[in-house]
This record gives sequence, structure tokens and C-alpha cells, in this order.
Amino acid sequence: MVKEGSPAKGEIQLVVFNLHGEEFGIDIGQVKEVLKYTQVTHIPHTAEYVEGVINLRGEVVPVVNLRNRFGIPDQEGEDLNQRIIIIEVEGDLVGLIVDSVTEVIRMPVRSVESPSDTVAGSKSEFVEGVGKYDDRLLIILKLEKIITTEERISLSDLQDWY
Amino acid sequence: MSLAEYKDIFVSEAKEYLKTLNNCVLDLEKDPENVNLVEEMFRAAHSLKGMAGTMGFDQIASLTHQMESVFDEVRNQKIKAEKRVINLLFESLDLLEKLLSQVEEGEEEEDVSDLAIKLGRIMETESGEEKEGEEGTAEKEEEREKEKEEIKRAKEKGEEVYLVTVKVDEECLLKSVRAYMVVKEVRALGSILKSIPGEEDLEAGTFADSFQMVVQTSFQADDIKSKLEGISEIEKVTVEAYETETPEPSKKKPSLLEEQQKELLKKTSEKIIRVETDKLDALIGLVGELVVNRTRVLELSKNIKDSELKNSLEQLDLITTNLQNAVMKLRMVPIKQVFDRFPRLVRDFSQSKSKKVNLVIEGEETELDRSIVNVIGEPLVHLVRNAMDHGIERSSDRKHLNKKDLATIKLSARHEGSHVIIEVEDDGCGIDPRKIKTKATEKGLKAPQDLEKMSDDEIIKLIFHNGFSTSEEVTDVSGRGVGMDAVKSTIEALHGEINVDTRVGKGSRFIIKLPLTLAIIKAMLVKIGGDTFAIPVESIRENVYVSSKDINTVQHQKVISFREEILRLVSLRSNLRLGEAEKLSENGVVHSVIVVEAGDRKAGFLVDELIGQQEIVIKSLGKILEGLKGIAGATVLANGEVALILDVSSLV
Repeated sequence: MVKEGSPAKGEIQLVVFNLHGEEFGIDIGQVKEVLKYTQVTHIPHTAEYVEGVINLRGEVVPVVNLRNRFGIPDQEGEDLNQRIIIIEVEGDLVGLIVDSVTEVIRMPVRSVESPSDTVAGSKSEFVEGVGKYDDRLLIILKLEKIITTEERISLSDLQDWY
Repeated sequence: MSLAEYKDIFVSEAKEYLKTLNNCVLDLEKDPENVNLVEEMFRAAHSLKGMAGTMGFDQIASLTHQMESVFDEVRNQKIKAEKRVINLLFESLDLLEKLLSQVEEGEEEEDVSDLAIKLGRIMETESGEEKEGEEGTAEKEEEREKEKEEIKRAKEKGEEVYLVTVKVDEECLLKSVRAYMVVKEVRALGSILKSIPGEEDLEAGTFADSFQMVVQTSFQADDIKSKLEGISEIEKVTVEAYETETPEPSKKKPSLLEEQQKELLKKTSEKIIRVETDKLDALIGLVGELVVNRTRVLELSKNIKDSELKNSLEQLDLITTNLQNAVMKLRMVPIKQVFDRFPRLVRDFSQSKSKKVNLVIEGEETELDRSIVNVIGEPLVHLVRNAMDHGIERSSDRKHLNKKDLATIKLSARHEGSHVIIEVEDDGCGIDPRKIKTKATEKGLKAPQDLEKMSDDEIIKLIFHNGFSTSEEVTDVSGRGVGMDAVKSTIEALHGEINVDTRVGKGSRFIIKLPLTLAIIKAMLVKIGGDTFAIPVESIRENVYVSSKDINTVQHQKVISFREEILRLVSLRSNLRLGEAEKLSENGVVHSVIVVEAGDRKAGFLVDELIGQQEIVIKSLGKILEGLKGIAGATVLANGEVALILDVSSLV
């Protein structure tokens, strides 16, 4: 597990991942571990973005493909950078397939803008906020929402409002 | 330990006391003179009161306090355990149960003063004549006489008799040792006439933190006191003159003490420790993993020719199997937990209706998986209520039919192979197929011409059909029309089945067959469209190979004839969207078909390849993937791959 001590007050620590050239952040407190892409067992009759289940040391954990979730076509060929981020949502473990996990950063809470401060887009309910880090913009997702609703979300919806 | 954890312990212990109280009141109703029952109830109420008081649950404490007083009056024969007392006690127990669930949910306890006042009043009205509650039986009287005699003799010898009360330090770990030292010291000074508790208990350390001895000695009280206080970890020693004439010090004070002793004795003799179910489940899960990994290691070792390795692996295999069996037993609980609620249910029912019912319970010690026990209660309640409501005739009708006035409902459980059979049997009117027919036509469940073709057995099975209820009146006990099909689906969800055996005028018997455990099952592994799936062996009847020429089409449905039956073929590939459907019409191709059965439905599953039978550990897919059609769960195979378990009943 990637962890560098608990963040100081007024600071958040984010695991940064990449999806289709866009940078996203997840609060490190939500992340259980990051795995290399492993074999996924497909499950019939589920939403398209549910890739299937994996064996995490004997636990059966469902895995969501974030590319499919946001309507981005699959990458061509095998990508060795591909990772599965295991997070905990409402007491259950869920894996997220992302293009790559790049780093863990700390940033002050005040440099995170919440969607209500900006022009609210139609799908802002899936976004916790946008973090400004140097000249980079990190979209911080509301993972519970994204995983538990059936609603279609596209990447452009997430980008729309900032 | 956090407060929440204390609360959990409180709630679970309190529930046990409530159960005891409920059972005792039920027994007391039948046997109002039984003093032992009252004693037991008094102890249970007392312990509950103490616990609730410590935890600050004032309403529970005050209600149990009133109940305790009532028990005390009954014990002292100031009031009789007659019907109105019993009813009031049941009412109190119901309220206690409600209070407990409020505590469990973290809600405010509701006010109990109304009931507490009622309980108070019942004592007032009865104890008007205030008899002297002298409980001294002849035996006790005799004992006291003997004691007096001894004391007299001692005094003649110029010796004194003292009552020595010793309190051991609370933190003391080896109470028995301290008690032994005290006894030894006292023996050196004089002789012990009696001790409370008895010396055996002192030696075993089965006392609270204090004990008493009646000592005959020529020494002075102060001498004894200082000698005993010299022993380490003794907190307090009191020595007082012992006189039997004074209203028996050993009676008033030790009565509480003796109570504690009994409580403690009961606890040690139970030899039970409480473990949170989560911890137990974690252990069971780990052992499941171990079982799977053992299989994997054994498989890997097949190619290695090393006899020492083979020997140790065999050992490991054996130990793992034993461990698995032992751990599986941890999951098992007696079905008594479920059956215990029925005497009360039946009693309340008999009271409210003019039907006299005797409940017979058999095999309550039969054990089955805890997770099954947790769910089987509701369906059983439903069946028993149905039996009382629809099955058993009114008392007056029974007379006409030459039946015994007292009807019988039998609830029984027993093991049969790897199954548990639970039966609910009544000697009521049975189920009349003609009535079912009329009802089914009325409800439009079946066309009349279809019903004509059906056998009586098939017709009776219609009661398990959705939206079927034969009771003419909807009562508060049963008959809302959602009953039997809900019972059936609950039981099927547990991989069990329910059948009914009924004779008009004689009675009905519902037979429930359940697997012993749900955690580890035997499954057939198959390949379908490149993926591995597990099919519970439970629901498999046979594996057959069919060639294309044996497959027929009836109304767009592929069928085969199997043992003089027409069997529907199910393509799992198309059902589970696992790629192209099998080409069944191609000549000369042989297909693997697994014949499965769920309830009364049979079907043939087409699979690509049979891998073999294996024990698998069932894992849930988590909340996110809950309720998937066709999939009952998942399991991790020996090679680390995840295989899905097929839900046969939703696929046939």
C-alpha cells in the first residue's frame, strides 16, 4: 500500500491516476491498495462497465472499468501500465481499472475547488472537486456515486464545467 | 472494550435471560406450584436487573425490578401464579423484548411505568392478608436444631462460635489458593462447622469474592481476624458471634451470597465462551482458503517424486480435513434457538381462539448451520400459524368429527444424511384438493381444463403458487395470500425444498429438507464459452452425452427425451451471453448435458466440457453485484481463478 504517514491538517493526500490523458485524484484514505492488471472473470448480465471479479487473496472483488464507465473506448493492445486500484465503498471492496497510477501528492485543502463554486455542469454530482496542483488540474471523483448509480456518464460531462 | 461492545454483550445476555423467563413462565402456567421455576425466574430477573442497572438502562431495570418483586411474592406464596398474573408477566416480557430492541438500535427506551404500576397492583390485591412468609421447611428446621445443639456443646466446653466472613481481593487470580490458606489457618485455630459455599466449591474457587464459615474455637474474635488478615490478597475479614436464634444471619445475608454462588456455578458448568460471530466467520473463511490451497499444493506435488514430501503432504491433508470439520462444527447451532419461540406462539393463539392446541417438539437438539437457523424461523412461524388457523378445526367441530378436543401440532427436526429434515405436522382437517381447485379457478391461476388433468398431489402443490390463500377470512394470524409462496422461495434460497403430505380429515404434514451447511458445497466444475462455472452437485441428477440426432424441437424449444421424460435443453451460452449458441443441428456432434433439478422443474444444461467435482467455498459477490440473474455467488479455484456458481433454480 502506498502511504506516507497521515497528511497534516488542512492538507489532503491524493493518489493520482490517468485515464485517456486526463488526470484524476482519489483521497488516499479510500484506497486500499494498487495492483497490476490481473485476470478478471467476466460476469454475465451486468452493466457493461463492470469488468468482472478478481481474486484478491481469496476475496472475490468486483472490478469496474473506468474507461467503459465514462464511455471511452478500450485501449488497443495490452498496456503494462494498467492498474487496478482497490477502494472501499460502503464497506465493500471494489477495484477500478485505470490506465496508470502515477504518483501520490499532498496538496492544501484550499486548492480544491468544489463544483458548486464554479459553473455547475449537468454531471457535477459525480465530482467532489478539482484540485489545482502547480499548473495541473486533478479531477477528484465521488466514487460511491459513480459505482452505485446506473446512470450513463461520459468523460466530457466531467470536463464540461471547469 | 468500548461501550458499544459492552452493549452487544448486554443485549445478547439479556436475550438469553428473556428466553429463560419466557420458558419458565410458560412452564409455570402448567405447573403453578413449582417453586424451582420461580427460583429460576427470580435469579434471571435479578441478574437482568443488575446488568441493566450497571449499563444505565433504567426502564429495563425498573421493569425487571417489579417483576422480581412479583416473583418474590409468588415464591413466598403470598400470591398465586394464576392466569392474570401469568398474562401480566407475559405482557412484561413482551415489553422487555421491545425495550431490548430499542437498546440494540440505540433508541430511547420507552416508559414502563404503566406496566410497573400494574405489576405493583397485582401484589397489593393479593397480599392483603399478609401471611407470615416463613419458608423454613422441616429439613431446615431440623438443621437449625442440630446447629443450636452444637453451639450449646461448644459453649459448655468454653469455646465460642463465630461467623467469619472473608472477602478476597477482586483482582485475585487464584481464589481457590487463598480460600485454601484461609481454611488451613482457621483449622489451626479451631474447627469449621460449616462453610458457605461448601468446602469443595471453596477449593475449586467457584465463589464470588467472598465466603463465610461458621467456626468453633477457643480463640478470641480479634485473634482470628488478625491471623486471617495476614494472608495476602485478603481484602476484608469480619468475625462476629454466631447465633442461630437471631433471625439467622446466614439466612438473610448469605441468601444473596448463595445466589451469586449458584450463578457462578451455572456459568462455570456451562463451559461456554462468547465469541463475536464476525470473528467466527473470519476464522471459517480462512479455513476455507486453507482447504482450497491444500488442494492446489496437492495437485502441484503430483509431479514431484519425493516420498518425504508426499508423506508430509498427506499429513497436512489429513490435518486440514480435520480442521475443516472442526471449524464447520463451530457454525452449527441447535435448532432449539428457533423452536423456542413456538410454545409461546401456540399458547397465545390457543388463548385468543377457541381452539385447544398442544404443541409437541421433537429433536430440538438437531444442529444446523447458523446462517440457516437465522432465516428458517419466519417460514416455520408461518407454517405453524397456518396449521393453527386453517388446519385445526374449532373445538366444537372436532367433537362432531369424533376427534380429541385437544389438537396436536408437532414440530420436529432430524438429520438425514447431509440434510436436516424439519416437519410441521397437525391433526387438523387436511387440505382438500377440491377446495384448492375451486380457489385456483377463482383466482385464475389455472384453466379448469388444465386442473382436470392434474393429479391431487399436483393440485395441492398449487398452495405454493404466488397469490394463493385458502382461508375464507383474513385473520391477524395468517392468510394474507402472500404466505406459502414466500415460504417456498425462502427455503429454495437456502438450497432446500418443501413438500406437503396431507389427508382430508386427518391432517397435514409439511416436510422441509435443508442442507446442513451453506459455506462449503460440492460442485461440478464445467467450462462454458471459455469460462469456468460451478454447478452445485445438490441440484445435479445426472450427466449425459447426447448426439445431435437425439435433439428434437418442440414449439421452438430444443428438447431431448430422457428416461421417458421430455427434458428442456438450456443453452447457458445464450442464457448467460457467453458467445455463440451451440450448433445443435450439426450432424455427428456429441454434446455434454447436465441434467439438473430445482423444485419440481428439470432441465438439461448444455456445457462445453466437464472438469470434475470439487469442494468449493461460497463467496458472496458483494452488494454491488447483488441479485444477479443466474449467478448464486463465486468461488476461488485452486489455481487462483474465480469461478461463478450458477443459480440453478433461476436457470431451469
